[in-house]
Amino acid sequence: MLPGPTICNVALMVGNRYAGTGGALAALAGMVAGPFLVVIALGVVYQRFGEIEMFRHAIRGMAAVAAGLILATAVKMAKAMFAKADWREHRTQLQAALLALAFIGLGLLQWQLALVFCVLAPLGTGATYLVGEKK
Amino acid sequence: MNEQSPVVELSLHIAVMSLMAVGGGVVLLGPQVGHYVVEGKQWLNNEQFSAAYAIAQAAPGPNLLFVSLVGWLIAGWAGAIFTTLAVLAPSTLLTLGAIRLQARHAGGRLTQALGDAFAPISIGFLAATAWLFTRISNVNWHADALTVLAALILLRTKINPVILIAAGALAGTLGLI
Repeated sequence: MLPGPTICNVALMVGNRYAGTGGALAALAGMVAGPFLVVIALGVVYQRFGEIEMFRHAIRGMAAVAAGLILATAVKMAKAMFAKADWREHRTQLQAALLALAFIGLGLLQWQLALVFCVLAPLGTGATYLVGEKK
Repeated sequence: MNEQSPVVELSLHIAVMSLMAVGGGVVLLGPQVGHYVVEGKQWLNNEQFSAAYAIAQAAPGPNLLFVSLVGWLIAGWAGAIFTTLAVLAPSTLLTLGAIRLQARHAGGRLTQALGDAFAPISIGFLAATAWLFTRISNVNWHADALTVLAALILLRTKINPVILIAAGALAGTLGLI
């Protein structure tokens, strides 16, 4: 549970295990450099043809699906987290509340990520710490 | 590049944001960066921003590279390179630091509490991101329906997401959206 793209963190950990800090950085660079050039190449194509009506419509469809990918990821993660949860436990209730507050703050109220994070992260961690003690 | 160079400003903004993008990571940056470059600074319009996101999602590799594309569209190579470093550097340092610490503190009560709290917060953020992203990029209810349909298909099957994105492109081209 670290910030940053998960796949990059995995590259860092594997690189680190086999060849220390240098290995970690090399693994990350290897993972990012190729796709970076592909994405920029696609960007060049977009800048060139982005005004064409058909192309714009295609992009719209792709963007709608991309939003669906994010939604599906969120649902999958929530399912995994609550799969074996006991709803009578305070920990589970607390986690459900944190999830809902994070969604409401960032999504519905459209507060800044910094604000929502700086309120929920310390309070949430404090609360789960205290709940953990009672067990 | 503009005179006051948005590159530095954008990169700093992204670097700070990237540290708060816990868990699922990159997608959280979407609406935050989008809000900043589209409504705040007006460097890009909604359509360009969602195109950058859609293209990066369709391309191989980590989809955080949409940030590179946003940088590219705003300020060419300098924009692309600096925004990419900005999104990678802070979390890389933090992860390397955490790897060192983990050996000593794994299994502690605080570690457990951090995990228990950050997991639901990141899921809530992810759901919010999906919601915000539809507000930025979906132009009508057809697009919203496609978003929900894509999510349902992904949850029920093991289809490769790239195929779904291609199907989305096709649906768009056919004028369904």
